[in-house]
Amino acid sequence: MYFEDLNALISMDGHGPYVWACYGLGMIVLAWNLLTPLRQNRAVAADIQRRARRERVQQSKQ
Amino acid sequence: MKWTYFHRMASPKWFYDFSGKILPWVGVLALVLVAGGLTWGLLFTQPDYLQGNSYRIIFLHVPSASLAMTVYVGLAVAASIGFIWKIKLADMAVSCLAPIGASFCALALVTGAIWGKPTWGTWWVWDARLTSMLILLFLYFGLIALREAFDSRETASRACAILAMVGVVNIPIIKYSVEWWNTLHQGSTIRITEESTMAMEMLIPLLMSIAGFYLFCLFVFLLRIRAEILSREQRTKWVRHLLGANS
Repeated sequence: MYFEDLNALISMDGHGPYVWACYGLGMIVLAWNLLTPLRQNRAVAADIQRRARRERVQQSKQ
Repeated sequence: MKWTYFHRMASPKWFYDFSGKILPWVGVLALVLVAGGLTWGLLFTQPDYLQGNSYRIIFLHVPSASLAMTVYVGLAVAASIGFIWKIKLADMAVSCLAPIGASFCALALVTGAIWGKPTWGTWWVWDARLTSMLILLFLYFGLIALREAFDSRETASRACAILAMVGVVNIPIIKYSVEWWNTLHQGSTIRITEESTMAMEMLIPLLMSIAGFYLFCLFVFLLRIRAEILSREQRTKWVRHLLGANS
């Protein structure tokens, strides 16, 4: 590692807040991109299955 | 290329099956490259002789800025394919690419602003590179909003396709803004046709990070379009069968 210790890594000679803020935001953007489609996928699948169950119930009543 | 091949690729079912096969590989490779490139750049490279440690932002800023533009070009190509041949899958791609591109465009702008403060002494200047990039973000927002503005899916997809195709004119403006105008933003340091003006030690993690971000983008695009395919094709037999909803 280039930095001698944890303090040097955090402060980065005064540039720490800028660098770490960017990396924090970067992680948020990556996580958002990953989680949104996964949630969407679950919602769509649940929706389709719910509708199919409802249709089956209706069919059995008829 | 045979036309049959083109049409098969455009079939949502074929694409769903195919993307399911490559998805894990793309995901693992993206994870390795992003984690490797960012860790290397953040912890192991030397500071820049001029900018000090603030330059470490480059490993996020350049990949996201590059992606923001490439995703737009991909989106415009998909939009024109959808517009000309009325291919459903192309329109799905347009709607899935817009939020991904917008998020990376926003990240490029914000990391650029944060990088600008210690380097230029200001968060923002209205110069060519920064302004044209901001316009790109607004184009993405416009595409997302326009799709929501119509009740009819066909009208929405036509309107979005036209906006996407017209907006592509902004891409060369962003690309060459640092050469055409006098700007605070530095010129490109990675050159394809000549030697890059960057130390190898910095260039390798940067290239790793760029490749990782592109693969990550492909990965989340595939995830999104798969959800979109299920949603739009939910009345078809294969989707119902796939989800065990067959009655």
